[in-house]
Amino acid sequence: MNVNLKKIAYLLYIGTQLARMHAVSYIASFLNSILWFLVLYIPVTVLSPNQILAIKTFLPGVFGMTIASLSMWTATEFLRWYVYHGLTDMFRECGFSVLHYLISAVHIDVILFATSTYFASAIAATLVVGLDPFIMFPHSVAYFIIALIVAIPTYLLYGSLIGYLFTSTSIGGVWTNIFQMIITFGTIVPPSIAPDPRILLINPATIVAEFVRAAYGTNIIDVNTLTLLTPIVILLYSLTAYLISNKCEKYIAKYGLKYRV
Amino acid sequence: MKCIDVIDIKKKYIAKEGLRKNKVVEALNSVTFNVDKGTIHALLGPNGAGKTTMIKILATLLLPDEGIAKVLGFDVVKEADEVRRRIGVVLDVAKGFYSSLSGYENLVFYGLLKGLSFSYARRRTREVLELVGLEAMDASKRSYHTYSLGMRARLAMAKALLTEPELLLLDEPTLGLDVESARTVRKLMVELAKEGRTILVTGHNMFEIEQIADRITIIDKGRVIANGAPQELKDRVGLIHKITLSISGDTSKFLSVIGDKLGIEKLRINDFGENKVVIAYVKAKRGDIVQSIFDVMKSMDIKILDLSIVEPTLEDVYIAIVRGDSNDL
Amino acid sequence: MTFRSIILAILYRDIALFRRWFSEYVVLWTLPLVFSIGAFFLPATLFEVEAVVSRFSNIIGVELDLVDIILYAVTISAIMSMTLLIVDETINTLYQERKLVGSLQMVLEATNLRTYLLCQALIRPVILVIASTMYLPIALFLIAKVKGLIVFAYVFPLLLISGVALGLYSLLIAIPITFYVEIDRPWIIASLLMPALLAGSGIHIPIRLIPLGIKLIAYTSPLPYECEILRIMLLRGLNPDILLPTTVITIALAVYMSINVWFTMKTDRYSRKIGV
Repeated sequence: MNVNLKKIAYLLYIGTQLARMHAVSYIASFLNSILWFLVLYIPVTVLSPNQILAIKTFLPGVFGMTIASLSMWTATEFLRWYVYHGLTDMFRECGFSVLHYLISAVHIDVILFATSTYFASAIAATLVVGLDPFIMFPHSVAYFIIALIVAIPTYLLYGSLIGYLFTSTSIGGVWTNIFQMIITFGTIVPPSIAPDPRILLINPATIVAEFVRAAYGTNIIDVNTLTLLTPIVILLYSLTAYLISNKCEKYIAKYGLKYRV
Repeated sequence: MKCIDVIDIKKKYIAKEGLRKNKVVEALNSVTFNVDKGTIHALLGPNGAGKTTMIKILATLLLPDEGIAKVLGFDVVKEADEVRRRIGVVLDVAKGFYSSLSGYENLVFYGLLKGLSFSYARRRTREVLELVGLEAMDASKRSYHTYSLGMRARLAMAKALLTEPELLLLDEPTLGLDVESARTVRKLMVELAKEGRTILVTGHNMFEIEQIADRITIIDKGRVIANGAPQELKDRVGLIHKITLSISGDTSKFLSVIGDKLGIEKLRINDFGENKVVIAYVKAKRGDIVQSIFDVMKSMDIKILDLSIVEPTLEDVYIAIVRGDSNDL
Repeated sequence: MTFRSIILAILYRDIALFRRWFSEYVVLWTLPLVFSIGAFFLPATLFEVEAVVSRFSNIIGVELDLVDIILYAVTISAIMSMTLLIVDETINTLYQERKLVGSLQMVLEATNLRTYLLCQALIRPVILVIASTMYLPIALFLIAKVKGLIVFAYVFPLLLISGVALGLYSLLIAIPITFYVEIDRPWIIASLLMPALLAGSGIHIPIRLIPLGIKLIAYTSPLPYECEILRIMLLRGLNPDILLPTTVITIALAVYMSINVWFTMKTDRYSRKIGV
């Protein structure tokens, strides 16, 4: 794997410029996420006997879910809407694949957007039910930072995977919604629902959600297990994302890319 | 009764420039013309001249600011419903249909909107799709967003013909079509006119317009600057014919006599020994040119080995009228 | 070009679109269902189910069991499903018809804008309510057998009336976005409006528990009253308490309709002045 730091820096620059062009969309998505969060979490919190425990356990799942969703929508944006507008080929002419496009967006989507949406939703959730917003400040910032680090390869993995599936099969945009539903298990729905919570680590976003929970001390899977898995997961997800996106690019080069609704 | 009667139509658009400034664009400024029934009438003009605006007014999609426009005796503003019942329209060939519906479904929808019964709408849709060749392409079942430009243009034509209208308003119906498809559309227009339908068509392909149009109206900057049959316009502008003669004999005397009779604007002679090829630009009617050449030939010892007289094209006429310059060759 | 022909055309088009986009509807049925059940039973992944049921019963003021709550959650998901579809379709479809796809031109060649928009506003929500709640009778039957079907029988007319009211409400937003304002991404407005309406309407819990700030937007729509009627009917049975919200919805329907009749007439003339 040829890691070209200059190329990555360049990609991040492109992603920043694209994000500036879509600033209004990002702001709207930010508000949208908070509102949808309230639709779900007002009743969840009100119906929970221990509201503080509920918020600290369920809320981190939203972060994991957001990472997965963002990456899938970013990938399908590249392979659907940009194809329709003729922009995908412009990227590909410069040697960029779906993975490059995801890398270009990773700092905006993961570090900026997902994090700010998470904390804004957290503050909104606490205020709505009359709790002190400061309870949502992570007790262990280190675990939160690890969550952010692990979120990056998770983001790349989901995007590459859905990109490849979208390109090489006849699945439509509806499948992104279906994947999102599946991804709720381990993230929004805590791993405690499984007979052995570790089973839900099969969902790559689970480890991200669990690290955020660990930041509040509400993790369900043991922190030692999570820490042990971290370097493996970072390497494995990054490598898998790279391989899948290569496959995706080969497929596009061979068969072309048509706009599909 | 004329099929279309346009009297003093005016139309302005107001475009916002920045936060406070408004820019007024005069699309049509006292446009007057009429179209006879059963003819193909072309509306020509440069980009932004007001052709599409005029078509949209006649199609009841746009309200004029002033003036009267009547279609088959019905006012396009006050009797819009009556007008809609009798017209078929082609505007932007590249879009205008629901992307997710097939060509067939789009047309049935349109037919139902127009008041056709369900069974008749379906039957008529199949007929027009067959007529424009989309059935042969198996395209009627495919979603519109998968159509090529040529197929979209055919579908737009099919929509215009769906309700068997008396008048067709066609805004650049062959735009983007390949040669064969464009020829098919032209042929269709001529056949429809023969059936008694009236067609008002706009376009930029002068070769095409010249082939089919009975009368032409040229609009520039919202005003009518010329009106008439193609030959009338050519005669009015008085453009130059290009004569190519291959002759043997006394060329200079021949040319001097011809020059006196016809008036040569420009001359070039290619010498091939015994034979000469003369290329002359002459400002005269075709009939006068032919008569003069044969008269001179009879009276002199000249052999004409080859003769061609190239008329000014409609494109030459159009450019001359729009630029105000009849010497442009 | 009568009302009848326009209604027939809209019906034909929407049924064709429903068949084409059937898989999207399956997602539309599933997501609100999962969301709704999740809203009630996510706490049960941490705490005892009985504690959650008891808490909800206390909030509503009626003794409920698990089946009642599941039944309620599934029925509420229909309101979510219906709201998402009607608001999104009304606002975004009109914009796309005019600005992106250009199919509004085809419509206006056949009829006038006012008649078309009013027919759409009345007929489309009915089609969309049916399309978005097709799963409901099956789901209710599976949960509560005959009782579930009885619930469907008296909930469905409410959904239809509410859907039409919501459609007319959404049209009041769709028209200015499409014709009077230059907006590049109008779907942002629809995507913000939907969760704002749902969050502020007390869809899962009584509206008195929702903060005022969030309620304000929802109160401009008929949604809070629909949720209230549904809650009363499902959890307390037919009750005089439904009279007030029913009256409000009826008045809202009349008000939205009147404003739309005037607005569409004005917009018809305006759109022909500036061009479609």
